[in-house]
Amino acid sequence: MLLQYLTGAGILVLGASHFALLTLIPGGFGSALGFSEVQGVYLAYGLLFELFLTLLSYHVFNGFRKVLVELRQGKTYEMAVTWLVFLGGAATFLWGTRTILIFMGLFH
Amino acid sequence: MGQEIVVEKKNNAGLYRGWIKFWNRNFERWLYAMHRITGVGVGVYFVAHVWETSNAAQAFLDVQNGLQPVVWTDLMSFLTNYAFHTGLLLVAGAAVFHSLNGVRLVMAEQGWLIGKVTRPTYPFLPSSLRGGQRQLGVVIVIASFILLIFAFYQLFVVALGL
Repeated sequence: MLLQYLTGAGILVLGASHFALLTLIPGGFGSALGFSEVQGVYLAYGLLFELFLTLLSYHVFNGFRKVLVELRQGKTYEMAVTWLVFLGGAATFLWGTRTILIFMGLFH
Repeated sequence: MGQEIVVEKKNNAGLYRGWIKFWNRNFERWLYAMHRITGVGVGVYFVAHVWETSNAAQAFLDVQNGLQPVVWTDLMSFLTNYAFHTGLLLVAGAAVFHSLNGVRLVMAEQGWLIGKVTRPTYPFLPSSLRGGQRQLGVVIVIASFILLIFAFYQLFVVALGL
């Protein structure tokens, strides 16, 4: 539970920053998703996006695991759920990392 | 020797009675259900968002090769409409509520803002429901609505010119 809380705290800070980056810039959300604007944000804050992805991958999939285990119990079931969410989280993390590296111009 | 009959009872209320049927329950129970529903919703959106942005990555590869980011502009024009922005509004509201309520849950688990233990007297209200965490819950709901209004303004007025 401690890791779930710690990742949650990190997500709160980075999520608020993500929200602010999209809305508090000149032109607001209407101009936040232009190609050059997004490229500039990723060149400056790419590593923070990677940290955000890492924390979210853990928090979200561990949250799914908790929900599924709370609804039904059993040794085999719980083991299957744990492996399933681990694989789902790892796949999401790797796929997201690939995207961030491309956005930062580090993956060709 | 008599045989012992073991009856296994389900030890949780299940999806409907545990999550969805939260009327006629106390405020904290309502917050619990909303925390679960918003958590699953934002979690599903997160996976979809990772997949969606990976589709846009081709634009960055195109620019590296001296081409125009056509994939990006096509995707953005596809996503910029009332239907997708309504979805984003729901995600923004859910994320804000889930985050703020998460802070309340951490504080409650640490024993902060929950009532002191008292002698059980009628109407036997749990001491945990008497402390400041309930007021914090109300503040969280109000703050979520305020940020939802801001998100509505950004998504529909600023971005779509409503």
